[in-house]
Amino acid sequence: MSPSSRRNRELKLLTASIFLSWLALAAVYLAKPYIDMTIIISAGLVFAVLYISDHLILRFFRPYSEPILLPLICLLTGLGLAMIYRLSQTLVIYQFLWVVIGNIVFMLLILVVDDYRTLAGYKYSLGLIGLILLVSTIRFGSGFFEPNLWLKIGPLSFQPSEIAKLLVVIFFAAYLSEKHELLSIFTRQVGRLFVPDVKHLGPLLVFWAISVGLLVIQKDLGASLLFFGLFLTLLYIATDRILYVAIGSFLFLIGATGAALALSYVNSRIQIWINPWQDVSGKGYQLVQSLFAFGSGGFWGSGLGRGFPNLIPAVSTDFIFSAFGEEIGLIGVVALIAIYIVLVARGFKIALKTDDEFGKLLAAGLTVVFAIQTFVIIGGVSRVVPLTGITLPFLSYGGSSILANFILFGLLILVSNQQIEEASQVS
Amino acid sequence: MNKQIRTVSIVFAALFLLLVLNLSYIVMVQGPDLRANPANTRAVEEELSIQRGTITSSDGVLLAESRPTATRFKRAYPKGELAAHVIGYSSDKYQKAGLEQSYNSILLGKEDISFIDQLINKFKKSEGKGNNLVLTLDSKIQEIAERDLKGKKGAVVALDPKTGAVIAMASSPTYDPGTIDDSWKAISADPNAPLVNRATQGKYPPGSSFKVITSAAAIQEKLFDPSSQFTDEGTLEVQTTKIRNYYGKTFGEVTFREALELSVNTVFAQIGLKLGAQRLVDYTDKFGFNETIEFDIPLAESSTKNAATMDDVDVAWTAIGQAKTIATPMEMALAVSTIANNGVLMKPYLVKEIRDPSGQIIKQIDTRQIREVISSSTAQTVNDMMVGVVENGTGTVVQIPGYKVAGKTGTAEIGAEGVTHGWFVAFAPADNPQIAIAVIIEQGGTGGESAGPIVHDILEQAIVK
Repeated sequence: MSPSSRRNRELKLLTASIFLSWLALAAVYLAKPYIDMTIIISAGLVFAVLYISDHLILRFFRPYSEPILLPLICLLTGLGLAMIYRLSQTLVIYQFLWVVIGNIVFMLLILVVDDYRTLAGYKYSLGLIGLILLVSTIRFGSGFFEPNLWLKIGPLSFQPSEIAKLLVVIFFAAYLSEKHELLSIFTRQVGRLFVPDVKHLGPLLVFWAISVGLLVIQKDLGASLLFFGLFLTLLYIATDRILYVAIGSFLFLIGATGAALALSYVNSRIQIWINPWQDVSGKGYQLVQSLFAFGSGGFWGSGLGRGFPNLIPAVSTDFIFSAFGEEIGLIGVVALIAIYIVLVARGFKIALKTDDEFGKLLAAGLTVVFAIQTFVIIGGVSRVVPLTGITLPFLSYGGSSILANFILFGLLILVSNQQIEEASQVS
Repeated sequence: MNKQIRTVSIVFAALFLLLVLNLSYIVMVQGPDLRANPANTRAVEEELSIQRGTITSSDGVLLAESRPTATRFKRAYPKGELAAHVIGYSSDKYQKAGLEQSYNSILLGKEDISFIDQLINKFKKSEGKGNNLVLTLDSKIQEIAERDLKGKKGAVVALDPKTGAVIAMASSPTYDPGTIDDSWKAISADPNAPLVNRATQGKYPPGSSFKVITSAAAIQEKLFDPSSQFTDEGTLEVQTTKIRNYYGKTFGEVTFREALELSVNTVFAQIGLKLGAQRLVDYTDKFGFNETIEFDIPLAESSTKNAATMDDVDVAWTAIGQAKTIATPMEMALAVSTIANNGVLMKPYLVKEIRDPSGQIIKQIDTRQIREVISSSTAQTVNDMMVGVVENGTGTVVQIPGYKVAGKTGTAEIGAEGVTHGWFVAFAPADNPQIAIAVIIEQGGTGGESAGPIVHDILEQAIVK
């Protein structure tokens, strides 16, 4: 496909996404006409201008990039804004600002990073910043007894783990692209099995320790699962050694079991997962309300703005998917999952098509982080896995989440552009 | 590395598929249970966000409406206790009763009359508003019925015999549906059961008011005519028991007509024995006993002993409305209105029209005939005999100058010595019946004394122009 036909396709899809977002906004506005209509209309126009600007920047500076990602991101943020407006007329103002900031950061990233490979050169600095961000809430956070994943600086609150995950992906990708051969040769023999040298297992153990540390010290089950899952998946992709996954999963299981036994916080999360109905008005309340939302929404949903998703605590952040379940029904949430599936599939496709190993691991790592996060939170609110407090990319309320996901897809788009651009130059 | 990336993408595809399957299971399989779960307050929330329709009487008196508060709607009953048992209540805490319960989905606008109307409602922006009910009740007659029942235990049912429309339905003691949330504890524990609608749920022995049915059966079967002669000796021995007249009176030689006017038990026991168990019960059934009569609010079944298990003692007692015979006030009103309506039993109804929020009629209730119980000539004969009761017999208290009134008293024994429920069934004018009525006063003594004056007040209001 020629660059211009790629961009034309992007523009067509983007136009459809903008119209769908306007439609969703109009639907919630009709059901809940809380604020002045001129504000809604101007916000809708700013929204369109932002994404058209993204498109123009891609058209002129990164014409080879993957054309489907931006329209889908546009649709998700548009639907997310419509739902957050419907849930809280205060939060939607902040969310809108974050979408604006996210788009600007996205454009800057696209313009500034000419060659994503330069990032590999900063792997240790970026990795270190990531680590510092992860532990920052231990120093600044106040709650040792309940999860406190927020860094508060003045009136701004920020969730460092959202940005940290991106830095960690870059570090892993760079580290593993250098070391993967070393890690995939098993020299030591135990019985009939070849196992890797203990010194090469070092990084695995370090990240296991960090993940368990996240769980124990910060009580952040979601981030713990996310980081370790990411690390194991990338290790497997880089080395083709399923044994790492086996050992890693085993270690994580030990860590998680220990945590479940020792930490009441983790234990109660698991209890709720196993049987939310034993304490419907107490600990199980949130998850049960979420299940009620899906059940009450039925196949078609109550219609945007016509359900009662505000009965679910934290509905605009962790539980926004349940609000969609109630108001756009099974058919709607399956469509949302389909959007996530397309985004994940495109991410892996970019990884497959990229020639250099850093690029491959970077694209795969970013995709895996995105996929795990989406699976864990949708699975959490629908009782497939124990509930963990993480956001649903692009839909949930939350500045750090919006920003991090714009950067994540900015990087993926950069990788996709460079891969095709270089391939076309060779030919 | 591509092989591993493909493997990983397949794993994620499977995981996302698992999400879809699980969500489908939650929605499609567990959905009904989740929606119905008592901890799921969505149905209540939704109800409170809808402006429930109004309920008005046939003469336009507003009986129930929903008033907006800051966040939701609150049900109000502007006339307080008026027609409380008919309207019922719609409480956030204690659910619903009466028409508020049986017409809930219509009052909420949830059960639209047709798909076209639904579309029209959408365009008219009447979403979020329920439909309104217009009742058959006449507020003035209803007020008189409730005023006269005050301080007593009992019930009044007045019907338009030609249509089955309920003109008045009262039950005492009563309650104010507007304050149900606060007064619930007291009224639900009250031994006099103010929450019970005695007019539809009260099961009483009909006593002598049942003789109307026995008479109709005997005349329809051509066993006797009004001038048939009987001999009353004060008591009638039937197998092991003795049937006595009230106050131990002895009437001697009487005609059938006089026996009804004076309510002679021994004569009606003889008529019952002549009819036999099967025929007696068959006619009783035709008048609406031993069946569930469809009605806008729950109506208890009136019943007799099974004909196959009756011996002569049972037959004799049944013919005078005792033994195992029990009737709701509504059933006795239906029976007497059948006589008034030339032998045709009409389906009773309370809701005359359903109107959309803008006041347009979207459904008008058609009157429906249940069955022809007796021939019109039989009905006319019984009608005439009942006029005699009011003119010459036990029912003189309901006489209205210038009008012919037909009636029958009843004094039902309830087991305890000397304690009786007083009944009065009537209709007027006898030559062109506008209203048929049944009144019962629990432990009120004789029907003429206790129920008669109430019947008189109501008939006067209904027919005197």
